[in-house]
Amino acid sequence: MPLLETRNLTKTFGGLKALDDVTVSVDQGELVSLIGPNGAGKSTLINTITGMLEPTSGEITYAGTDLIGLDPFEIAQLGVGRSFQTASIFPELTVRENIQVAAFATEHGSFTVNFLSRRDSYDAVRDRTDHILETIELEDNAGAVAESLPYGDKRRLEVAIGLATDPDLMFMDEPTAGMSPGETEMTVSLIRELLADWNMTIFLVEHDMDVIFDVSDRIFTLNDGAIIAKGTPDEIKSDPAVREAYLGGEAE
Amino acid sequence: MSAEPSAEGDDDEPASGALETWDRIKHTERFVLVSALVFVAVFPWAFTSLPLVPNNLLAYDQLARLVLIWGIFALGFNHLLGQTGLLSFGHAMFFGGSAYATALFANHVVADPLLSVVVGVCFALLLAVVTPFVLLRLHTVYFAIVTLAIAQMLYYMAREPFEGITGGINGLGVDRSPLFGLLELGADIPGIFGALWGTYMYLFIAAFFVGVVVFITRVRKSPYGLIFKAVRENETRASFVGLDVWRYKFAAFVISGFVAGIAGGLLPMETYFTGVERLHWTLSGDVVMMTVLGGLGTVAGPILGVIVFLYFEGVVNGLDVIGGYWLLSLALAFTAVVWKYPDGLWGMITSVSSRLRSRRGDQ
Amino acid sequence: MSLVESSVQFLFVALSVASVYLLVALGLSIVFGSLQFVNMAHGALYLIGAYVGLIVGFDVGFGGLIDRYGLAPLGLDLGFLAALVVTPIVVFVAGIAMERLLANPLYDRPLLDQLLVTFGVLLIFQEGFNLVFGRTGFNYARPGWASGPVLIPGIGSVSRWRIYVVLLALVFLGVLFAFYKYTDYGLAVRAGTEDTEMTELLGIRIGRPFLLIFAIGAAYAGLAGMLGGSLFGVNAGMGFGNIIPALVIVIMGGVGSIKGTTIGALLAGFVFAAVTQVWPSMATASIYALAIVVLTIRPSGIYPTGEIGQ
Repeated sequence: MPLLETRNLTKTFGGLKALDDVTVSVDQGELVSLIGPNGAGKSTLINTITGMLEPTSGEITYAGTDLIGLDPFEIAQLGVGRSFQTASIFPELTVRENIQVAAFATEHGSFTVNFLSRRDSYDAVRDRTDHILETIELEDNAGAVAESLPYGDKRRLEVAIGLATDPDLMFMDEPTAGMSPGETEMTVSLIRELLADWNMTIFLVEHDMDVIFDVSDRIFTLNDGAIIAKGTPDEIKSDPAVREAYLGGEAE
Repeated sequence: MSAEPSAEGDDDEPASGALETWDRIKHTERFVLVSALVFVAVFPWAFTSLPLVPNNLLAYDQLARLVLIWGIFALGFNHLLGQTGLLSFGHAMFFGGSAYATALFANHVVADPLLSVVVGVCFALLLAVVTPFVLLRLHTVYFAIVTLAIAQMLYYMAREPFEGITGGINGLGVDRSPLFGLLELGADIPGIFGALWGTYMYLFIAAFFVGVVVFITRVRKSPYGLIFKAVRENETRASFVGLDVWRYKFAAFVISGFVAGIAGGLLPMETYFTGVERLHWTLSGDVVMMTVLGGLGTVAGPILGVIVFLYFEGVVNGLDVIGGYWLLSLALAFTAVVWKYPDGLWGMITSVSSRLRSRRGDQ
Repeated sequence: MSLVESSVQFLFVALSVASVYLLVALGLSIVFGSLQFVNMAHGALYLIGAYVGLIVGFDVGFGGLIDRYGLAPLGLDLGFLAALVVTPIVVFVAGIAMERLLANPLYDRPLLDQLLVTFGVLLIFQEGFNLVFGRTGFNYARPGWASGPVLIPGIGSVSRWRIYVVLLALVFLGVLFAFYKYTDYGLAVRAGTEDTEMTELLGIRIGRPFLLIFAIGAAYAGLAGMLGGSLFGVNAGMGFGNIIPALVIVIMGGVGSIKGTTIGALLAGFVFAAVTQVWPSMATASIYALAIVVLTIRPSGIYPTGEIGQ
């Protein structure tokens, strides 16, 4: 049974079909990528699966649970994490605190009545936070206010917040956008580490084709809200529909 | 709106070991407790009888007690705006609502000060638990205006339909019996302590004040403190890490209403009176001004704001010539703070002191 | 009094109250909707309008600093009609000044900051007016053509001035609607309401259309100040007294929507007039109750536009 499955997912805004009958599935331990030209509906698909948008019709199941109608926090609690396209962080908190927020949500659920206990006393939260800081190599900046980080570090912090929720399935929305080649390389090796050591399943949206073809097990191609091709990187590279809709149109 | 400096923040000042120790202790709960105790011990004397200050610039005894009561109110309000980022223009509902509940209980059941305040707080809590079901779906301006609308509804209801119990625009005289039937709070404290603090009523209020400071500090150091700030900073992100944002906002609202209710209950015990103006939106406006003027998001800031506000209202107001300009000057100061100096008066003080320190570090 | 007569009288009370709120709420709503600027200081324009009208039209025995420096009575004494014409023009200019000095620097700040700063500015105006003009209230002396009842055959008598107030509001509503719908400037503002980001990218936001719409909204608020002052009296507290219901109407109707704001004002006017009949002391409160009910059912107002505050 696939870990995540959408069936005939459709989302309309007014008269416009942003998602048109999208059926995809993701298996445990896979890295699948979603590509497509700008405005193809990539972000809409992620937002619909993670509970930000309500689909017009169709089904979404994750590990046997129906996700339709659940709030984003409920979906996150099930083990679906995400990182955002923009650096969606908590700007005035420190780097450590940014990660702590997610660590609390993971260790203690969506809501707990613990407003009279010190947060220093939560060892599991501290360990998780330290572990994430180490993985993402931000421990030297742990005390810095998040807003003051350079852009690339903000993006990595954003991914770190997603990781701190301990997801089984992680949506990564253009994790390397705006990064320098060095930072991109760092992110790619992080993705490999997540797959190998963290047993994570990753759903990646990316513009950088080198990254896509390098790390993906399978690739979905979205155009005008509909899936036009699915397959391994080699299959996608040679798929005429993809070439026409996407690769041929614009040299990225 | 600023977050308080983080406790982990490293200062690169190897030269001054004392300052490092200071940085370590100044955010501990014990330090906050000691500071609160020292503050309540010394404040009334400094406020009302500081030597070398001309008499007409000194405050009077009651004003010191009012500072503590309003200080509690401002801390409650700040908990919502400064910590969680929700601007309520209707906090008068907790203040005035609790004041009426306290007064009615004292007049009709038992006039014991402690019990009456507890009843008032329970009423404020009730309001704080019910209203979020309307309020918490609303954003910024909508939230601010609808909190105001709810408080104004209560104001108009207390003014006429319920005039028979509330006394309408004439207000309501309030009974107060000795605490537990034993200690008359209006009596002077004997000896040197009397010179410092005046009556037992001051100690009664000060106990609540210290309790609230300790409570608020603990909440800030709990997971809630962090999560409230996270909700303020980025609500969407907070829900995508798996936090039930609605419930945390609800919690913040209830805590804020609870603390505001304590202040509302203490006031009729202090003044033997309560009236509809304590439900009016101008009172909500006052607490907004005090808190923001003093410095949002900190513990000391709102209290400093209250001191300045009440000093202008109670003392500067009475001076010749310039007295009439007290509210205008406060309005100007408030506007300047929200426009250009979001950290408020307390932020100015702390930034001056850190500038002095960094200059010393250069040498 | 016949049932027909009392219903018509009720209708005009409701419509005249709605008219005053509408003239204030329109400018507030459009600026909020298109520029994402929430302006409590809009109430200061209403306040200014009321006092400008007094000074232009009459010779008023003000108190405060004016009296202390021997300037009272003060005024041009040009009469009511002149005041009605001059006031909106003066407040139009005041609106331009407000846009340049207050609104423009705040456009990029969060709504919360805007709300707090403009709250402070309105408070400064209120206290300033109290100090300058004295803390007492003032009244408009309306000439014969604007007072007394009108006899409508077959129906009965209706307050003449209330009819004029309603007609004036209708004319100005029509003018604004035409401006909005049929001019390029109006198009730019509408585009701004629907997609602020796009408009910003195109650089329209800082341009003249918004300055103009801000100033028109100001002029309307100034006119409303004079009309409201003539109906309910003038004092320095009237700015807050009006801007809070006006804000309630704007968010209830749907920020940025002329239609929504008009419906919000009408709802408020009718509820106000109806409750006045049975329970006068709760008339103002009824507007708040109405808003609470509406926003509980529709959290973004009756005609939601854009994503304000989301």
